[in-house]
Amino acid sequence: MIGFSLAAALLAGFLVTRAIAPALPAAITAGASVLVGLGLPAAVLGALAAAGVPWSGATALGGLAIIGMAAVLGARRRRLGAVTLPRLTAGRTPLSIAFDALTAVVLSGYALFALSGHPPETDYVTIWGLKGLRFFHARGIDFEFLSQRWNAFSHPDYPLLLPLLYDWTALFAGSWPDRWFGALFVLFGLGAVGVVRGILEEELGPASAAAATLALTPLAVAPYLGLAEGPLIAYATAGLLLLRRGVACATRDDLTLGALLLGLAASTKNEGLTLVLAAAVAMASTAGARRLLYLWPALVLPLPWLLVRRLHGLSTDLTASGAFTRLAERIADPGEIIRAIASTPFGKPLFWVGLALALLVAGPATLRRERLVLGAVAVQYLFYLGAYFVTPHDIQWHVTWSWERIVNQMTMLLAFVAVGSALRELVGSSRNASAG
Amino acid sequence: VSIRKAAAGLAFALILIGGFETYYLRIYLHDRAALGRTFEELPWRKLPGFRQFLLDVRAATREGEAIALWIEPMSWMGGYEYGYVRAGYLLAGRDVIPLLAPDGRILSANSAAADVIACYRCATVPAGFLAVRSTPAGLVLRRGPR
Repeated sequence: MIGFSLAAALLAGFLVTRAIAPALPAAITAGASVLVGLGLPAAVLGALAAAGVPWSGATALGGLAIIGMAAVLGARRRRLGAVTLPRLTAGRTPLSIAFDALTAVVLSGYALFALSGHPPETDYVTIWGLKGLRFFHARGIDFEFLSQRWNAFSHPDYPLLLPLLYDWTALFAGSWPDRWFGALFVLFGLGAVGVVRGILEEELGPASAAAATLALTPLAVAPYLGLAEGPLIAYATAGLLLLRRGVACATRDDLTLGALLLGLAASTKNEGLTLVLAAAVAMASTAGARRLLYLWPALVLPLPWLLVRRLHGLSTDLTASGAFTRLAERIADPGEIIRAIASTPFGKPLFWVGLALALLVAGPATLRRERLVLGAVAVQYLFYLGAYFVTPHDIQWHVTWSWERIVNQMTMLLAFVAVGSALRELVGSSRNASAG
Repeated sequence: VSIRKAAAGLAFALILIGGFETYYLRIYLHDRAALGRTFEELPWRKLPGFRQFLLDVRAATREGEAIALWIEPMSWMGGYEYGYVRAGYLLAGRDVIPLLAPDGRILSANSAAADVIACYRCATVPAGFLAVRSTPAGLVLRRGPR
């Protein structure tokens, strides 16, 4: 039944994706459909909870069916014909097939890892899984639990997309299937890889795109099983890259779908909320303030949760009383933050050297072309740093337990720009590479 | 080959090799059943036997009951926080309430609200409670008739 619950969600995701952006290449459609599909259960269960309808397989499926039918009607209004599945094998070369086969080996290896057992992360047991399990027992969002001061450790303010996705699978399984939650993280990785692969192929051709995808795939599959990092990486990467495509090709559909995915990022983690702001700043400064209107789904999607959490007084720990005092003190003396960051590892040195070298070689023209993505990532990193300036926690502790993880949230986007520009320089392909 | 092309090739190679996760290849040769067992124990490893103790508490209690958690020694940083924030997951459906505040205060009012005290690593039974299950890691204490 878990397979059925996911298949139904992915089908609805495909219908919604196609209704919004019918002209996308096959790989992008497939990837975006997976990501949208994994976001719909939160919308359905959230709406049922708001309406006071207890969750069950039937009510959940009914809600999903309404979304699916709305998508079909939307597609008919846009006079989209019957669904024709494009050939995924078009234009393949032996080299691209070889690279894609290696990517498949890596993804399968990740699947073996993810499906080895229960999510092993502490934050799964104390935050993401705990809330999902509480809601599953309550057959709804348990605000009594979230509001109880003893449960502050579970970060009641965090957006609920992932716990509700756990609940979705559990409703159909009839029990708590945590042994199989790894499959969700494989799907998030596949979704991100699909979108990235499709966009790279448009810009670089099949062989270079396949090589670039191989390089980017390990960044798409987060090792933090059970936590919201994997979903956030997938939504952030796919969302921003579709905005980039929408600006480059002047297509409203891509902008709408990209904004929808950013809205799902904002429904996944608080960092997703700041990413919406970062994307808006980058969009306004690179593509014009008028295009901000297309970001409306990114604002509308997380809005209900923002209102509800305010209503229930579920505040974030970062804004605990004295935030402005802490900010002022640490701006005056940022030494502790700098020392904490300097003493904390943030990934693999070889990778970062390669990334820096690629951006150096890229030159000003490429950097100008990529200013939407690079600008959004830069603003997002400022938000990350800002969190350390206001945190009520011990700075060294906070940095140690978060820095590498949050840096990784944006790494795939940076690597996309770096790998794309390096391969463009190397093989000279410039197909449709006029983003930004 | 221009210097730019060579540098671009080097950059791509560094990103590919540097970012590659060899674990996703090595895992094909791993004992995944053992890995699964490690996954299961990982979040609980600092309090030996605590996971099984909670499963025993779960078996001895009903949904909706309030379970207060006692962990010897009663020290917030010495294990209480570690156990308290994890207990709710395996005791889902029950309300887990703390008996210790982060500042070290014993929250005796909470014990008055508890149907059950899950007592990890302790052997004594407080007044008003009866031991209904004894496990290698501790006792499950149920409130006696008032």
